[in-house]
Amino acid sequence: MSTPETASATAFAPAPGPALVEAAGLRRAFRMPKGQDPVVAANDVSFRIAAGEVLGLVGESGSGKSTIARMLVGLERADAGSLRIAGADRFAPARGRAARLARARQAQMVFQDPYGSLDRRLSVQQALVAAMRLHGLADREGARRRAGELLDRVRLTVEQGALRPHQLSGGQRQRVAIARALAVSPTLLVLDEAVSALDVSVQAQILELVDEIRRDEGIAVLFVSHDLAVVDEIADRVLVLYRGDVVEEGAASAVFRAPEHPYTRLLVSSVPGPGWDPHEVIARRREFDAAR
Amino acid sequence: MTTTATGALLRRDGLARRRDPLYAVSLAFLGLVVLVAAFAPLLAPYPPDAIDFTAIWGSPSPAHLLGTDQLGRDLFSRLLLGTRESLIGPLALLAGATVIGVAIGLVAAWNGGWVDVLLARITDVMFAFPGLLFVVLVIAVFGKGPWTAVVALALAYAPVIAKFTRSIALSELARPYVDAYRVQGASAVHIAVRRVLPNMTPALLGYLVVLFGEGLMSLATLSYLGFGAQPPSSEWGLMVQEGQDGIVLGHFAPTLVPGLAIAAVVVAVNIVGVRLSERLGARA
Repeated sequence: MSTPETASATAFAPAPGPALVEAAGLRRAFRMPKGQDPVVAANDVSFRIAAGEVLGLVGESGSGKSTIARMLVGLERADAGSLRIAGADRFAPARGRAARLARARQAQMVFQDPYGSLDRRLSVQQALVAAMRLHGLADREGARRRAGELLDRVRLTVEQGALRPHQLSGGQRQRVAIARALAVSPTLLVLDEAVSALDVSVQAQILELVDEIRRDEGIAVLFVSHDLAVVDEIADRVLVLYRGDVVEEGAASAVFRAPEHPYTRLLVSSVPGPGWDPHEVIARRREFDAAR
Repeated sequence: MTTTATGALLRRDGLARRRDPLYAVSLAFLGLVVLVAAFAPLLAPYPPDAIDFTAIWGSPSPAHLLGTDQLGRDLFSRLLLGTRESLIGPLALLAGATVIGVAIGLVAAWNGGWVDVLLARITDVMFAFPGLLFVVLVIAVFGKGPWTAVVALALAYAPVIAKFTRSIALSELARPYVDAYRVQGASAVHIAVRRVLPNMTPALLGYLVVLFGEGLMSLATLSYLGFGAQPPSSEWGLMVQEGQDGIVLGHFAPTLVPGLAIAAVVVAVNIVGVRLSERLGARA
């Protein structure tokens, strides 16, 4: 999945094709209780994602990954900066139902928590039909047919379509979440730590599914994760976020094989593997923070 | 929604499997009471207001199963017919209070801000102010009668329901599926009413059932005090009041029978309400 480029490739690989998503100078700070400094979740973040491309967004907890992800789907506003998907300004007020729905069709999201992100009252089939009906994409019969196709797409059976979330495993639920996102035919799919709660073999299945979907449907993917191995597996390019700043950007293979920024190096060397020593990781982390 | 939710609950849990005889008996008893209310005119041997001066303070006999009251009216018939008013009153008061309270509670939880602050103040005042006193005040202004009592109690209950709704709505709104609906482009009203509210129904239901019992008590109390149902109604609270003259004469039934009816229904309702909360809460 990762491109066969070697470590000698430049750190920056331009997005293939015209940009679908254009983010420029995104800023967001969260006010804290009195006496504490505001937390900067995004500090001048810019990036582009091309159609059919998977952009990985990595960084540790609190680096601002989720804030960026939530901005893309309209759950979070920016203090400054601009965000365009297919040329449309995401921050311009959406007046009226049609505008709101059109905007929702641009970007859909799969959430981290496979247990809480599905409506526990609706069966899988009902959830998919409801999404399509909300957008007026099909009549009841058509929506049902398309729901069947979507289930097939995410490799769930018709029988599983009749089940409710609590009857499904974590991996199955994330498949449902992906199907629900695809139900409105988005141009961008945001996965916010979408495989983090799953065990490794299930992760691999979901990653394969996401890769297949972006290839077949040509939709762009923003893949947010703290797990470098997972991002390396699926992303074409990566953006490394440290306390709201993009510290490194480039082809996934280049960034992970030959990290240039000290923070990226720290992240890469912190991944558990042979000879991994947690004490050393913590010590190096302290050293790094002290130097900044 | 209430009946289907309850039906589904019974099917899914299977009363026999859970072996909860108290719940089963309470539910059966309430079912019986509702049936009696529905078919009271057919079941009652006499019209409830048929006065018979030859049978005043009559003891239980084959002709009058529970005896007669101070006007010689058949107590059994009055009890059966009284089921209707005694149940419809709290039902109506709860329906009104629920519509107002749930709406306010949802809006407060969703919006926060001044709506939330205003709700908190109103509920504080209502909690500090004895409910019955408030109701008597409303009745003093608008005049006594069964419907004034119902409306006044509905106004007193609405903030309580709003506060409860707000607390469960806050935890419900924190769930990621609400964000998922936002991302999907659903409007705030659609999410709150069509999606979040049905998910809150299980928690609300048990609470409302318990409140129904409380409402029945309050309305009976008001009728007893003369502020609610008016003669010749056979509302149970009013029956207790009208029958109490008989106590000094040694005729306990006219007071005791409607009093026991109130107590039995309230106890059954409370058991069902608490068990419902436990069962539905455990699943959510």
